[in-house]
Amino acid sequence: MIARDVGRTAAATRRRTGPRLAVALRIGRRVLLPASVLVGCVLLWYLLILALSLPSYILPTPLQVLRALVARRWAYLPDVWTTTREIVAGFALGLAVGLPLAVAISRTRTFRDSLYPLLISTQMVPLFALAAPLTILFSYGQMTQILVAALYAFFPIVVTTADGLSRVDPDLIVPIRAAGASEWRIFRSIRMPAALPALFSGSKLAVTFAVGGAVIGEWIGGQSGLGYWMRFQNDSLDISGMYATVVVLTLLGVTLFGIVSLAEYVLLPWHRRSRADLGNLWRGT
Amino acid sequence: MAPVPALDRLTLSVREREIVGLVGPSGCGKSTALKLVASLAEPTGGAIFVPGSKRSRLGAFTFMPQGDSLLPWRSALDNASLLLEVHGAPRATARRQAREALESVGLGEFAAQLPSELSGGMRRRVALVRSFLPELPVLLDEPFGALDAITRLDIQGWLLRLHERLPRAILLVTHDVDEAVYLADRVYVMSPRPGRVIHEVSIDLGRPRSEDVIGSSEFAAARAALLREIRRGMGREAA
Repeated sequence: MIARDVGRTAAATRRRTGPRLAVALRIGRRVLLPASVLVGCVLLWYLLILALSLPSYILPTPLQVLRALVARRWAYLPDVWTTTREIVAGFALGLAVGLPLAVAISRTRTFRDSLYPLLISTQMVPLFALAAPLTILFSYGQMTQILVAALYAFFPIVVTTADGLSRVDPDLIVPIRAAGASEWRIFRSIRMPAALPALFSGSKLAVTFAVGGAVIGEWIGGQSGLGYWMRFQNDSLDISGMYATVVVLTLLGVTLFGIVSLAEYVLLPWHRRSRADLGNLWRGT
Repeated sequence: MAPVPALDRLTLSVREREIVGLVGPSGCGKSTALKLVASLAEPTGGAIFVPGSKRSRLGAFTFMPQGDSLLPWRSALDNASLLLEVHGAPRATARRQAREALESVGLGEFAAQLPSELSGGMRRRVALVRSFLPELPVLLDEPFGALDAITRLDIQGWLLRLHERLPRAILLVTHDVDEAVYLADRVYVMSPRPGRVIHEVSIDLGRPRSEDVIGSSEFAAARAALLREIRRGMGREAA
Protein backbone atom coordinates (compact mmCIF):
# COMPACT_ATOMS: atom_id res chain seq x y z
CA MET A 1 0.00 0.00 0.00
CA ILE A 2 2.96 2.24 0.59
CA ALA A 3 4.12 1.39 -2.92
CA ARG A 4 0.87 2.75 -4.29
CA ASP A 5 1.28 5.96 -2.36
CA VAL A 6 4.82 6.31 -3.67
CA GLY A 7 3.49 5.86 -7.19
CA ARG A 8 0.93 8.57 -6.62
CA THR A 9 3.46 11.01 -5.23
CA ALA A 10 5.81 10.34 -8.15
CA ALA A 11 2.99 10.96 -10.60
CA ALA A 12 2.21 14.23 -8.87
CA THR A 13 5.85 15.29 -9.16
CA ARG A 14 5.84 14.49 -12.88
CA ARG A 15 2.69 16.52 -13.41
CA ARG A 16 4.15 19.47 -11.56
CA THR A 17 7.49 19.57 -13.34
CA GLY A 18 6.09 18.69 -16.74
CA PRO A 19 8.12 18.26 -19.90
CA ARG A 20 10.49 21.14 -20.55
CA LEU A 21 8.69 22.15 -23.74
CA ALA A 22 5.43 22.69 -21.88
CA VAL A 23 7.21 24.91 -19.36
CA ALA A 24 8.82 26.91 -22.16
CA LEU A 25 5.43 27.29 -23.83
CA ARG A 26 3.82 28.43 -20.59
CA ILE A 27 6.53 31.00 -19.89
CA GLY A 28 6.35 32.11 -23.53
CA ARG A 29 2.65 32.59 -23.07
CA ARG A 30 3.21 34.74 -20.00
CA VAL A 31 5.74 36.89 -21.84
CA LEU A 32 4.30 36.95 -25.35
CA LEU A 33 0.70 37.63 -24.36
CA PRO A 34 1.37 40.79 -22.33
CA ALA A 35 3.96 41.87 -24.93
CA SER A 36 1.44 41.65 -27.74
CA VAL A 37 -1.12 43.56 -25.68
CA LEU A 38 1.51 46.26 -25.14
CA VAL A 39 2.25 46.43 -28.87
CA GLY A 40 -1.50 46.67 -29.51
CA CYS A 41 -1.77 49.58 -27.06
CA VAL A 42 1.10 51.45 -28.75
CA LEU A 43 -0.59 50.97 -32.15
CA LEU A 44 -3.85 52.23 -30.70
CA TRP A 45 -1.96 55.23 -29.30
CA TYR A 46 -0.69 56.08 -32.82
CA LEU A 47 -4.12 55.55 -34.34
CA LEU A 48 -5.69 57.86 -31.76
CA ILE A 49 -3.23 60.65 -32.61
CA LEU A 50 -3.83 60.19 -36.35
CA ALA A 51 -7.61 59.87 -36.09
CA LEU A 52 -8.13 62.89 -33.81
CA SER A 53 -5.05 64.76 -35.11
CA LEU A 54 -3.97 65.42 -31.49
CA PRO A 55 -1.15 67.95 -31.04
CA SER A 56 1.97 66.74 -29.23
CA TYR A 57 1.32 68.99 -26.20
CA ILE A 58 -1.78 66.90 -25.49
CA LEU A 59 -0.56 63.45 -26.58
CA PRO A 60 2.94 63.01 -27.97
CA THR A 61 3.67 60.00 -30.16
CA PRO A 62 5.29 56.91 -28.62
CA LEU A 63 8.44 57.76 -30.60
CA GLN A 64 8.62 61.27 -29.09
CA VAL A 65 8.23 59.78 -25.61
CA LEU A 66 10.93 57.23 -26.35
CA ARG A 67 13.26 60.00 -27.53
CA ALA A 68 12.66 62.00 -24.36
CA LEU A 69 13.31 58.86 -22.33
CA VAL A 70 16.60 58.12 -24.07
CA ALA A 71 17.70 61.76 -23.90
CA ARG A 72 17.48 61.81 -20.10
CA ARG A 73 18.34 58.15 -19.42
CA TRP A 74 20.85 58.24 -16.52
CA ALA A 75 19.60 61.59 -15.31
CA TYR A 76 16.50 59.76 -13.98
CA LEU A 77 18.52 57.72 -11.53
CA PRO A 78 18.74 60.21 -8.59
CA ASP A 79 14.97 60.81 -8.79
CA VAL A 80 14.28 57.07 -9.10
CA TRP A 81 16.36 56.58 -5.96
CA THR A 82 14.48 59.32 -4.06
CA THR A 83 11.06 57.99 -5.03
CA THR A 84 12.06 54.38 -4.31
CA ARG A 85 13.18 55.34 -0.80
CA GLU A 86 9.87 57.09 -0.15
CA ILE A 87 7.83 54.17 -1.49
CA VAL A 88 9.77 51.61 0.53
CA ALA A 89 9.60 53.69 3.72
CA GLY A 90 5.89 54.39 3.18
CA PHE A 91 5.22 50.71 2.53
CA ALA A 92 7.18 49.71 5.64
CA LEU A 93 5.30 52.24 7.75
CA GLY A 94 2.00 51.01 6.28
CA LEU A 95 3.00 47.46 7.21
CA ALA A 96 4.07 48.48 10.72
CA VAL A 97 0.73 50.20 11.34
CA GLY A 98 -1.44 47.84 9.30
CA LEU A 99 -0.34 44.53 10.81
CA PRO A 100 -1.17 45.29 14.47
CA LEU A 101 -4.47 46.83 13.35
CA ALA A 102 -5.30 43.70 11.36
CA VAL A 103 -4.53 41.50 14.36
CA ALA A 104 -6.65 43.69 16.66
CA ILE A 105 -9.56 43.69 14.22
CA SER A 106 -9.48 39.93 13.71
CA ARG A 107 -9.19 39.19 17.43
CA THR A 108 -11.89 41.32 19.03
CA ARG A 109 -15.35 42.30 17.90
CA THR A 110 -15.06 45.63 19.72
CA PHE A 111 -12.03 46.60 17.68
CA ARG A 112 -13.66 45.45 14.47
CA ASP A 113 -16.87 47.36 15.06
CA SER A 114 -15.14 50.53 16.26
CA LEU A 115 -12.13 50.66 13.92
CA TYR A 116 -13.36 49.38 10.60
CA PRO A 117 -15.68 52.30 9.71
CA LEU A 118 -12.93 54.73 10.67
CA LEU A 119 -10.36 52.93 8.53
CA ILE A 120 -12.68 52.93 5.55
CA SER A 121 -13.32 56.65 5.93
CA THR A 122 -9.56 57.37 5.88
CA GLN A 123 -9.63 56.08 2.33
CA MET A 124 -12.37 58.55 1.38
CA VAL A 125 -10.19 61.55 2.29
CA PRO A 126 -8.61 62.80 -0.94
CA LEU A 127 -4.93 62.64 -0.12
CA PHE A 128 -4.31 65.57 -2.45
CA ALA A 129 -6.07 67.69 0.15
CA LEU A 130 -3.96 66.22 2.94
CA ALA A 131 -0.62 66.56 1.19
CA ALA A 132 -0.62 70.39 1.28
CA PRO A 133 -0.97 70.80 5.08
CA LEU A 134 1.47 67.92 5.61
CA THR A 135 4.01 69.75 3.47
CA ILE A 136 3.63 72.84 5.65
CA LEU A 137 4.07 70.68 8.75
CA PHE A 138 7.16 68.85 7.46
CA SER A 139 8.71 71.46 5.25
CA TYR A 140 11.99 69.64 4.80
CA GLY A 141 12.86 66.04 4.05
CA GLN A 142 10.62 63.39 2.60
CA MET A 143 8.19 62.98 5.48
CA THR A 144 5.13 64.16 3.53
CA GLN A 145 5.78 61.75 0.70
CA ILE A 146 6.39 58.85 3.09
CA LEU A 147 3.24 59.60 5.07
CA VAL A 148 1.04 59.88 1.99
CA ALA A 149 2.49 56.61 0.64
CA ALA A 150 1.87 54.95 4.03
CA LEU A 151 -1.71 56.23 4.14
CA TYR A 152 -2.33 54.54 0.81
CA ALA A 153 -0.39 51.38 1.70
CA PHE A 154 -1.77 50.45 5.11
CA PHE A 155 -5.39 50.01 4.03
CA PRO A 156 -5.08 46.97 1.72
CA ILE A 157 -2.74 45.40 4.28
CA VAL A 158 -5.27 45.79 7.11
CA VAL A 159 -8.21 44.54 5.06
CA THR A 160 -6.57 41.47 3.50
CA THR A 161 -4.64 40.42 6.61
CA ALA A 162 -7.62 40.81 8.95
CA ASP A 163 -9.60 38.74 6.46
CA GLY A 164 -6.86 36.09 6.24
CA LEU A 165 -6.58 35.88 10.03
CA SER A 166 -10.30 35.39 10.55
CA ARG A 167 -10.70 32.82 7.77
CA VAL A 168 -8.31 30.22 9.18
CA ASP A 169 -9.75 26.71 8.81
CA PRO A 170 -10.90 25.82 12.37
CA ASP A 171 -9.97 22.17 11.77
CA LEU A 172 -6.31 23.20 11.62
CA ILE A 173 -6.58 24.59 15.15
CA VAL A 174 -8.49 21.74 16.81
CA PRO A 175 -5.57 19.33 17.44
CA ILE A 176 -3.28 21.91 19.04
CA ARG A 177 -6.09 23.49 21.06
CA ALA A 178 -6.94 20.03 22.41
CA ALA A 179 -3.26 19.65 23.28
CA GLY A 180 -3.62 22.66 25.55
CA ALA A 181 -1.87 25.28 23.37
CA SER A 182 -2.21 28.89 24.53
CA GLU A 183 -3.96 31.48 22.36
CA TRP A 184 -0.56 33.04 21.67
CA ARG A 185 0.83 29.68 20.59
CA ILE A 186 -2.18 29.12 18.31
CA PHE A 187 -1.69 32.58 16.84
CA ARG A 188 2.04 32.06 16.30
CA SER A 189 1.90 28.50 14.99
CA ILE A 190 -1.32 28.58 13.00
CA ARG A 191 -3.20 31.83 12.50
CA MET A 192 -0.26 33.97 11.42
CA PRO A 193 1.32 31.48 8.97
CA ALA A 194 -2.13 30.70 7.56
CA ALA A 195 -2.72 34.43 6.98
CA LEU A 196 0.62 35.02 5.22
CA PRO A 197 -0.73 34.47 1.68
CA ALA A 198 -3.41 37.10 2.43
CA LEU A 199 -0.75 39.44 3.83
CA PHE A 200 1.22 39.08 0.61
CA SER A 201 -1.86 39.79 -1.52
CA GLY A 202 -2.37 42.95 0.53
CA SER A 203 1.32 43.85 0.22
CA LYS A 204 1.19 43.59 -3.55
CA LEU A 205 -1.71 46.04 -3.59
CA ALA A 206 -0.02 48.20 -0.96
CA VAL A 207 3.27 48.59 -2.81
CA THR A 208 1.36 49.58 -5.95
CA PHE A 209 -0.70 52.13 -4.03
CA ALA A 210 2.43 53.44 -2.29
CA VAL A 211 3.88 54.37 -5.69
CA GLY A 212 0.87 56.60 -6.33
CA GLY A 213 1.05 58.02 -2.80
CA ALA A 214 4.72 58.95 -3.01
CA VAL A 215 4.20 60.62 -6.39
CA ILE A 216 1.24 62.66 -5.13
CA GLY A 217 3.37 63.78 -2.19
CA GLU A 218 6.20 64.79 -4.50
CA TRP A 219 3.90 66.50 -6.98
CA ILE A 220 2.49 68.71 -4.26
CA GLY A 221 5.36 69.31 -1.92
CA GLY A 222 8.50 67.59 -3.17
CA GLN A 223 11.87 68.99 -4.08
CA SER A 224 13.03 65.93 -5.95
CA GLY A 225 11.76 62.56 -7.12
CA LEU A 226 9.82 61.37 -10.14
CA GLY A 227 6.60 63.10 -9.06
CA TYR A 228 8.44 66.38 -8.65
CA TRP A 229 9.91 65.94 -12.13
CA MET A 230 6.53 65.16 -13.64
CA ARG A 231 5.16 68.36 -12.21
CA PHE A 232 8.17 70.34 -13.38
CA GLN A 233 7.85 68.91 -16.90
CA ASN A 234 4.11 69.46 -16.85
CA ASP A 235 4.54 73.10 -15.82
CA SER A 236 7.13 73.68 -18.54
CA LEU A 237 4.87 72.00 -21.12
CA ASP A 238 7.44 69.26 -21.74
CA ILE A 239 4.65 66.75 -22.26
CA SER A 240 6.82 64.14 -24.01
CA GLY A 241 9.23 64.37 -21.07
CA MET A 242 6.39 63.94 -18.58
CA TYR A 243 5.13 60.84 -20.35
CA ALA A 244 8.69 59.51 -20.37
CA THR A 245 8.82 59.99 -16.59
CA VAL A 246 5.49 58.13 -16.35
CA VAL A 247 7.14 55.23 -18.20
CA VAL A 248 10.04 55.24 -15.72
CA LEU A 249 7.58 55.35 -12.83
CA THR A 250 5.63 52.44 -14.32
CA LEU A 251 8.80 50.38 -14.62
CA LEU A 252 9.65 51.20 -10.99
CA GLY A 253 6.15 50.17 -9.83
CA VAL A 254 6.23 46.90 -11.78
CA THR A 255 9.70 46.14 -10.37
CA LEU A 256 8.56 46.72 -6.78
CA PHE A 257 5.47 44.56 -7.38
CA GLY A 258 7.78 41.89 -8.79
CA ILE A 259 10.01 42.05 -5.71
CA VAL A 260 7.04 41.49 -3.38
CA SER A 261 5.86 38.60 -5.59
CA LEU A 262 9.35 37.13 -5.57
CA ALA A 263 9.49 37.39 -1.78
CA GLU A 264 6.18 35.54 -1.61
CA TYR A 265 7.47 32.86 -3.97
CA VAL A 266 10.64 32.37 -1.95
CA LEU A 267 9.16 32.66 1.55
CA LEU A 268 5.96 30.62 1.02
CA PRO A 269 7.08 27.55 -0.90
CA TRP A 270 3.95 25.73 0.26
CA HIS A 271 1.79 28.33 -1.39
CA ARG A 272 3.28 28.05 -4.89
CA ARG A 273 0.78 26.78 -7.35
CA SER A 274 3.36 25.38 -9.73
CA ARG A 275 7.03 25.32 -9.06
CA ALA A 276 8.61 25.18 -12.51
CA ASP A 277 6.65 28.18 -13.63
CA LEU A 278 8.28 31.51 -12.84
CA GLY A 279 5.59 33.22 -14.92
CA ASN A 280 3.67 33.14 -11.66
CA LEU A 281 5.62 36.19 -10.56
CA TRP A 282 3.68 38.41 -12.86
CA ARG A 283 0.36 36.81 -12.40
CA GLY A 284 0.31 37.77 -8.74
CA THR A 285 -1.41 34.65 -7.37
CA MET B 1 -39.27 25.85 21.57
CA ALA B 2 -37.48 23.99 24.31
CA PRO B 3 -33.92 22.96 23.47
CA VAL B 4 -33.47 19.26 22.71
CA PRO B 5 -30.81 17.65 24.90
CA ALA B 6 -28.09 16.15 22.72
CA LEU B 7 -26.61 13.78 25.29
CA ASP B 8 -27.96 12.14 28.39
CA ARG B 9 -26.05 10.32 31.14
CA LEU B 10 -23.21 9.04 29.02
CA THR B 11 -20.67 6.87 30.81
CA LEU B 12 -17.65 5.61 28.93
CA SER B 13 -14.51 3.87 30.06
CA VAL B 14 -11.35 3.11 28.14
CA ARG B 15 -8.51 1.08 29.64
CA GLU B 16 -4.82 1.43 28.90
CA ARG B 17 -3.92 0.18 25.40
CA GLU B 18 -7.57 -0.46 24.64
CA ILE B 19 -9.37 0.65 21.49
CA VAL B 20 -13.00 1.49 22.21
CA GLY B 21 -15.51 2.29 19.51
CA LEU B 22 -18.46 4.66 19.86
CA VAL B 23 -21.11 4.02 17.23
CA GLY B 24 -24.64 5.19 16.69
CA PRO B 25 -26.98 6.68 14.10
CA SER B 26 -25.96 10.02 12.63
CA GLY B 27 -26.91 12.98 14.79
CA CYS B 28 -26.83 10.97 18.02
CA GLY B 29 -24.11 13.19 19.47
CA LYS B 30 -21.06 10.92 19.10
CA SER B 31 -18.79 13.71 17.92
CA THR B 32 -20.22 16.13 20.47
CA ALA B 33 -19.44 13.63 23.22
CA LEU B 34 -15.84 13.39 22.03
CA LYS B 35 -15.45 17.19 21.94
CA LEU B 36 -16.91 17.46 25.45
CA VAL B 37 -14.42 14.91 26.73
CA ALA B 38 -11.55 16.91 25.23
CA SER B 39 -12.94 20.25 26.54
CA LEU B 40 -13.20 21.45 22.92
CA ALA B 41 -16.85 22.21 23.66
CA GLU B 42 -18.59 23.14 26.89
CA PRO B 43 -21.86 21.51 27.94
CA THR B 44 -24.82 23.92 28.00
CA GLY B 45 -26.01 22.10 31.09
CA GLY B 46 -24.83 19.31 33.34
CA ALA B 47 -21.29 18.23 34.02
CA ILE B 48 -18.56 15.97 32.76
CA PHE B 49 -16.41 13.88 35.07
CA VAL B 50 -13.12 12.46 33.96
CA PRO B 51 -11.39 10.79 36.93
CA GLY B 52 -8.00 12.25 37.72
CA SER B 53 -8.30 15.36 35.56
CA LYS B 54 -8.96 19.00 36.27
CA ARG B 55 -11.92 21.09 35.15
CA SER B 56 -10.43 21.78 31.76
CA ARG B 57 -9.13 18.70 30.02
CA LEU B 58 -7.24 20.62 27.34
CA GLY B 59 -3.85 18.96 27.19
CA ALA B 60 -5.09 15.69 28.73
CA PHE B 61 -6.02 14.02 25.43
CA THR B 62 -4.93 14.03 21.83
CA PHE B 63 -7.73 14.83 19.42
CA MET B 64 -7.79 14.04 15.72
CA PRO B 65 -10.66 15.65 13.79
CA GLN B 66 -12.31 14.27 10.67
CA GLY B 67 -9.89 15.89 8.23
CA ASP B 68 -6.16 15.28 8.58
CA SER B 69 -5.69 18.96 9.58
CA LEU B 70 -2.02 18.96 8.64
CA LEU B 71 -0.50 22.44 8.46
CA PRO B 72 0.25 23.08 4.76
CA TRP B 73 3.41 25.10 5.52
CA ARG B 74 5.05 22.42 7.69
CA SER B 75 6.78 19.34 6.30
CA ALA B 76 5.47 15.88 7.19
CA LEU B 77 8.15 15.70 9.90
CA ASP B 78 7.30 19.08 11.42
CA ASN B 79 3.60 18.24 11.34
CA ALA B 80 4.28 14.96 13.12
CA SER B 81 6.29 16.71 15.84
CA LEU B 82 3.77 19.56 16.35
CA LEU B 83 1.87 18.16 19.34
CA LEU B 84 5.05 17.10 21.14
CA GLU B 85 6.25 20.70 20.78
CA VAL B 86 2.97 22.03 22.16
CA HIS B 87 3.36 19.68 25.12
CA GLY B 88 6.68 21.35 25.86
CA ALA B 89 9.26 19.07 24.27
CA PRO B 90 12.26 21.00 22.91
CA ARG B 91 12.03 21.27 19.15
CA ALA B 92 15.08 19.10 18.48
CA THR B 93 13.82 16.32 20.76
CA ALA B 94 10.33 16.47 19.24
CA ARG B 95 11.74 16.30 15.74
CA ARG B 96 14.01 13.37 16.61
CA GLN B 97 11.11 11.42 18.13
CA ALA B 98 8.89 12.24 15.16
CA ARG B 99 11.58 11.17 12.69
CA GLU B 100 12.07 7.85 14.49
CA ALA B 101 8.31 7.25 14.53
CA LEU B 102 7.91 8.11 10.84
CA GLU B 103 10.81 5.84 9.94
CA SER B 104 9.48 2.96 12.04
CA VAL B 105 6.18 3.04 10.15
CA GLY B 106 7.72 3.35 6.69
CA LEU B 107 7.17 7.08 6.20
CA GLY B 108 10.81 8.10 6.68
CA GLU B 109 11.48 9.02 3.08
CA PHE B 110 8.52 11.42 3.05
CA ALA B 111 9.63 13.36 6.14
CA ALA B 112 10.68 16.44 4.16
CA GLN B 113 7.58 16.55 1.92
CA LEU B 114 4.88 19.15 2.29
CA PRO B 115 1.32 17.86 2.86
CA SER B 116 0.31 19.03 -0.64
CA GLU B 117 2.91 16.61 -2.04
CA LEU B 118 1.38 13.61 -0.24
CA SER B 119 -1.64 11.49 -1.16
CA GLY B 120 -4.75 11.53 1.03
CA GLY B 121 -3.76 8.20 2.60
CA MET B 122 -0.24 9.39 3.40
CA ARG B 123 -1.54 12.60 4.94
CA ARG B 124 -3.83 10.58 7.21
CA ARG B 125 -0.87 8.44 8.31
CA VAL B 126 1.21 11.48 9.18
CA ALA B 127 -1.75 12.88 11.14
CA LEU B 128 -2.07 9.60 13.05
CA VAL B 129 1.65 9.57 13.92
CA ARG B 130 1.26 13.15 15.17
CA SER B 131 -1.65 12.06 17.38
CA PHE B 132 0.14 8.98 18.75
CA LEU B 133 3.44 10.62 19.68
CA PRO B 134 2.39 12.28 22.97
CA GLU B 135 1.87 9.57 25.59
CA LEU B 136 -1.80 10.44 26.07
CA PRO B 137 -5.17 8.83 25.35
CA VAL B 138 -6.20 9.45 21.75
CA LEU B 139 -9.65 10.62 20.65
CA LEU B 140 -10.39 9.88 16.97
CA ASP B 141 -13.43 11.55 15.41
CA GLU B 142 -14.35 9.56 12.30
CA PRO B 143 -10.74 9.70 11.18
CA PHE B 144 -11.14 7.88 7.86
CA GLY B 145 -14.44 9.34 6.70
CA ALA B 146 -13.42 10.90 3.40
CA LEU B 147 -11.18 8.10 2.13
CA ASP B 148 -12.05 5.60 -0.60
CA ALA B 149 -12.86 2.06 0.53
CA ILE B 150 -9.50 0.45 -0.30
CA THR B 151 -7.34 3.24 1.16
CA ARG B 152 -9.56 3.17 4.23
CA LEU B 153 -8.98 -0.54 4.72
CA ASP B 154 -5.21 -0.06 4.27
CA ILE B 155 -5.09 2.70 6.85
CA GLN B 156 -7.22 0.81 9.34
CA GLY B 157 -4.73 -2.07 9.19
CA TRP B 158 -1.90 0.41 9.43
CA LEU B 159 -3.50 2.04 12.50
CA LEU B 160 -3.59 -1.38 14.21
CA ARG B 161 0.14 -1.82 13.59
CA LEU B 162 0.87 1.73 14.79
CA HIS B 163 -1.12 0.95 17.93
CA GLU B 164 1.04 -2.14 18.57
CA ARG B 165 4.14 0.02 18.33
CA LEU B 166 2.78 2.99 20.30
CA PRO B 167 0.04 1.53 22.50
CA ARG B 168 -2.43 4.22 23.57
CA ALA B 169 -5.94 4.16 24.96
CA ILE B 170 -8.14 5.08 21.99
CA LEU B 171 -11.72 6.27 21.86
CA LEU B 172 -12.89 6.04 18.26
CA VAL B 173 -16.09 7.66 17.04
CA THR B 174 -17.36 6.12 13.83
CA HIS B 175 -20.57 5.47 11.96
CA ASP B 176 -18.99 2.57 10.14
CA VAL B 177 -19.94 -0.72 11.79
CA ASP B 178 -17.21 -2.67 9.95
CA GLU B 179 -14.60 -0.18 11.11
CA ALA B 180 -15.71 -0.49 14.72
CA VAL B 181 -15.58 -4.30 14.64
CA TYR B 182 -12.23 -4.43 12.82
CA LEU B 183 -10.46 -1.96 15.12
CA ALA B 184 -12.08 -2.04 18.56
CA ASP B 185 -11.89 -4.27 21.64
CA ARG B 186 -15.22 -3.00 22.86
CA VAL B 187 -17.93 -0.92 21.20
CA TYR B 188 -20.47 1.35 22.84
CA VAL B 189 -23.76 1.70 20.97
CA MET B 190 -25.57 5.02 21.29
CA SER B 191 -29.26 5.76 20.81
CA PRO B 192 -30.59 8.65 18.72
CA ARG B 193 -31.08 12.03 20.41
CA PRO B 194 -30.75 12.41 23.33
CA GLY B 195 -27.70 10.19 22.92
CA ARG B 196 -27.26 7.56 25.61
CA VAL B 197 -25.18 4.41 25.73
CA ILE B 198 -27.72 1.64 25.28
CA HIS B 199 -25.40 -1.29 24.82
CA GLU B 200 -21.82 -2.43 25.10
CA VAL B 201 -20.47 -5.11 22.75
CA SER B 202 -17.16 -6.93 23.30
CA ILE B 203 -15.27 -7.75 20.12
CA ASP B 204 -13.32 -10.93 20.83
CA LEU B 205 -11.24 -11.15 17.72
CA GLY B 206 -7.88 -11.21 19.52
CA ARG B 207 -4.76 -9.24 18.69
CA PRO B 208 -2.76 -8.69 16.63
CA ARG B 209 -5.44 -8.46 13.96
CA SER B 210 -4.90 -8.46 10.23
CA GLU B 211 -7.19 -7.88 7.29
CA ASP B 212 -7.88 -11.65 7.13
CA VAL B 213 -10.09 -11.35 10.20
CA ILE B 214 -12.68 -9.48 8.14
CA GLY B 215 -13.65 -12.66 6.28
CA SER B 216 -13.99 -14.77 9.44
CA SER B 217 -17.28 -16.02 10.87
CA GLU B 218 -16.45 -14.37 14.24
CA PHE B 219 -16.23 -11.01 12.47
CA ALA B 220 -19.57 -11.59 10.76
CA ALA B 221 -21.17 -12.56 14.07
CA ALA B 222 -19.80 -9.52 15.90
CA ARG B 223 -20.90 -7.27 13.06
CA ALA B 224 -24.42 -8.73 13.08
CA ALA B 225 -24.69 -8.34 16.86
CA LEU B 226 -23.56 -4.73 16.70
CA LEU B 227 -25.92 -3.86 13.88
CA ARG B 228 -28.81 -5.48 15.76
CA GLU B 229 -28.13 -3.30 18.80
CA ILE B 230 -27.92 -0.12 16.70
CA ARG B 231 -31.23 -0.94 15.03
CA ARG B 232 -32.85 -1.77 18.35
CA GLY B 233 -31.71 1.62 19.65
CA MET B 234 -33.36 3.30 16.70
CA GLY B 235 -36.61 1.58 17.59
CA ARG B 236 -36.79 -0.88 14.76
CA GLU B 237 -35.74 -4.52 14.51
CA ALA B 238 -33.53 -5.78 11.72
CA ALA B 239 -35.54 -6.35 8.57
